[in-house]
Amino acid sequence: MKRILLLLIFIIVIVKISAIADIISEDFKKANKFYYEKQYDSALVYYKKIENTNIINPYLYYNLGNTYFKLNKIPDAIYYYEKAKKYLPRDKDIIFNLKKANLLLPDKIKPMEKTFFIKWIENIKNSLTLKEVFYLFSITFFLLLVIIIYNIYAFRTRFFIKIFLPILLGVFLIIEIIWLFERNDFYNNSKTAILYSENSLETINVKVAPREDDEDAFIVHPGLKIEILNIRNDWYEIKLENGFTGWVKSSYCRIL
Amino acid sequence: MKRFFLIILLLFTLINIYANDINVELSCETDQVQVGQIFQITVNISSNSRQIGKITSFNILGTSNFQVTGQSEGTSVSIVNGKVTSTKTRRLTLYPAKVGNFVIGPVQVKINNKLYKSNTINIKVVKSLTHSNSKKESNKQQDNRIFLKAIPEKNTCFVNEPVHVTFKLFTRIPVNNFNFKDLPKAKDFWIENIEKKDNRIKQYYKIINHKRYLVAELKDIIVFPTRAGKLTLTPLSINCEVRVQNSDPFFDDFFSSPFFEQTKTITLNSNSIIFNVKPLPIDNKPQNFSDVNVGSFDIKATVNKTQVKQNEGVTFKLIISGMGNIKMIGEPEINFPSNFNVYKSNSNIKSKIENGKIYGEKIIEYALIPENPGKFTIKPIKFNFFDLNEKRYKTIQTKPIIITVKKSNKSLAFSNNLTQNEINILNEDIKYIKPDKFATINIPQQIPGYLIIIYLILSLVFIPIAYIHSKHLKKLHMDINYARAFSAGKISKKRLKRAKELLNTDNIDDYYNELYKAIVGFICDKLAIPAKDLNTNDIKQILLNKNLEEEQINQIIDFLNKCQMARFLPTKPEDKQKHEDFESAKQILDNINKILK
Repeated sequence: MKRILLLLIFIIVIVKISAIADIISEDFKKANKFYYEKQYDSALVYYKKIENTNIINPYLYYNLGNTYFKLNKIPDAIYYYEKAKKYLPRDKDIIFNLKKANLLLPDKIKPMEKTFFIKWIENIKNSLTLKEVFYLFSITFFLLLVIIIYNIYAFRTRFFIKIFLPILLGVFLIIEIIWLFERNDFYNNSKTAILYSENSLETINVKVAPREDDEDAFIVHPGLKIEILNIRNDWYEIKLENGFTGWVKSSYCRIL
Repeated sequence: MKRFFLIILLLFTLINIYANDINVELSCETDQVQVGQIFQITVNISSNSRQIGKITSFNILGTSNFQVTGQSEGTSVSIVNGKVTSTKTRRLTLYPAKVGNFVIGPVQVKINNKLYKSNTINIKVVKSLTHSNSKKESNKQQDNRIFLKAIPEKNTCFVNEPVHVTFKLFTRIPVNNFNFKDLPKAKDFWIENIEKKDNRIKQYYKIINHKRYLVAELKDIIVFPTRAGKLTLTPLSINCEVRVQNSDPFFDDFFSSPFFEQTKTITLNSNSIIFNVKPLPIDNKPQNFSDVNVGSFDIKATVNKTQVKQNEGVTFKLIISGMGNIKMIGEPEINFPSNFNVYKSNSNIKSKIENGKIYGEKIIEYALIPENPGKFTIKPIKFNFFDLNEKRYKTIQTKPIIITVKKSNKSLAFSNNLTQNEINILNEDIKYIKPDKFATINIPQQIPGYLIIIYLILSLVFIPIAYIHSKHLKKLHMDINYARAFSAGKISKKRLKRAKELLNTDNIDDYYNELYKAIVGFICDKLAIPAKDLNTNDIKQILLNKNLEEEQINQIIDFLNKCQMARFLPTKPEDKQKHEDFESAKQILDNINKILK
């Protein structure tokens, strides 16, 4: 009896989940149709409705970004493009639209000068998601395990297999573990944010200290990607991509 | 007697007063009939007195071409808003005998010795109405009872001049319901619908051609002809649910009762309207004039602040308001100082319709972000339009706006130079949405902790196992004694198995030989000594050297002796005995295995 009841509950839950999924994909289709008909306001309503179910989906974020772009709300568009990029880091469309949106911002910020090597490392680092790094880690781990066991059994092997390959794989494994932690931080404890305000062309005064009456460090506008260095009460110490730092009210930051 | 005369006199004067208001009207249901088909004409004599008076003579001219087959009379009095109307109705049933066009009327009625004349009507009598013709006829008849008309405010107008068009439904039959089927097509016209307040439809009565119609103003639109010339506005068509009566409503009162009524859906088309659209005059036409700017407008420009710091935004608003097609008017060109980075942020259009005229307001918003300090002027913005009231072109302009930009070393005014690649990106539209990739509903990004634990366990288990196993394999390979000891158990087990096969045969010799060899072979393999030519005494010696207990050794030796004895005894041992020996051999092997570990 108990078993039947449990089974019933299980079935109900499954049916409900699939029903919710159905509703969501139905809304998604509606929103896409509105977008196609250039009724961006209506499309936005439906996309937002799906977003409110706390679903994490890069396609939804991308479409939301496009809708905001068409509604001329560039900071919102950038926020959603960045969010989409987080889950699809190598998607060309997202990268293109994000680039275009960034060009439409009032502040043109030149990123800090970096050596070629660091740039290259950063590019590789950001081009994989946490999951993908984990797959890589798993593959390396099993390769290493197989090679170690092979070496235990083997009577006589070449230097390459006995010494060089295990060390190489071991180094990879250590790098991947560090990478995993870095990615985990990026996805689950994000320190990057987008400067945001209801009015997309509002002037944001960044202060030198976390006080309202303090001097301005610089003036920026919504839509910029920033890094949060420190938190004090409801003030964030932020760092622009060009290395400028200053304090803003936390309400101006929308964490990715 | 005197009083009686007075009353009579009074009555007569009263009648004389109202007698002037008598109205005689002649009407007919159709204007086309078939020979031999009877039809009715109706004479209404109405007056606004309580009594019409005596009809002294009633004469209809033009009825000589018809045979009058029936006549009926009725009187009714109605009081509406204190006004009294009395009506005398005379219905005549006529039989057309000849083909031709006939004029019936006027009706000459003599009331109180005064002659009144009515209108005339035309009746066409045809030989025969073919079936389709008669159907068409009946439709036409219906058309006369109910029709839709489009009435424009005017037929001659300028390009882009708003013209108010009303669609009216005229009906003499009850209408239950209606819905719009086809709206006028927007080709050559920009059409603006006027929303009805509370969806209420204006209704009133009107008499057309001596017939009383209920008029309903179904729809109001404002059209803006988009080009000059003769333009046709396509008709509005509606679906109408009407109540129709089965029989002739004037003839058979019983069958026209509501029980026998039917509803029927008919489609009505309004007339199309031909507009004579004049082009705007060429004289004094400003350059680059947009033909849409027709009406009367006002323009205003504002900023939210005139004193700003570098890189601080200023909101600039341009407001165009007035009467005309505000949704379509062109935006005037604005020359902002080059020091400003200009971002178009919003444009907002509001429009409303009052008294059939369309008013609106268009607000265009820009955000200006100054790069360098200084004083800058936003020059007056000019706006041209064609004034419909004065029938001439007009130019209006805004006041200049001066913005002072203060220097700020806190500014983030970075170089605005774009690379070619960036320009290409800006010129391209954004990539389209990804509409059909919604398969993955939730993509959480977390390190799967349980998998990491499994990985750790795997490596902690497999590596030691592999290490031990590989050691053993190597020893087997290198050390023959180890290999013998390792396989001792296997060989003795094989022997025991063979012995078991022999257990049920008569071959006692072989059976005991196997048992004997199983034990001796096992001991030899375990202790790594050659097995050839060993007798029981040698074994005893070897076991003694291994420091085993005397008792156990004796048990083994006894069993071995017993095996050898059994092989050469003349009497065969019983089956039971054989089984016991087999079991004890097994046990001895177990014991030796334990001891020689």
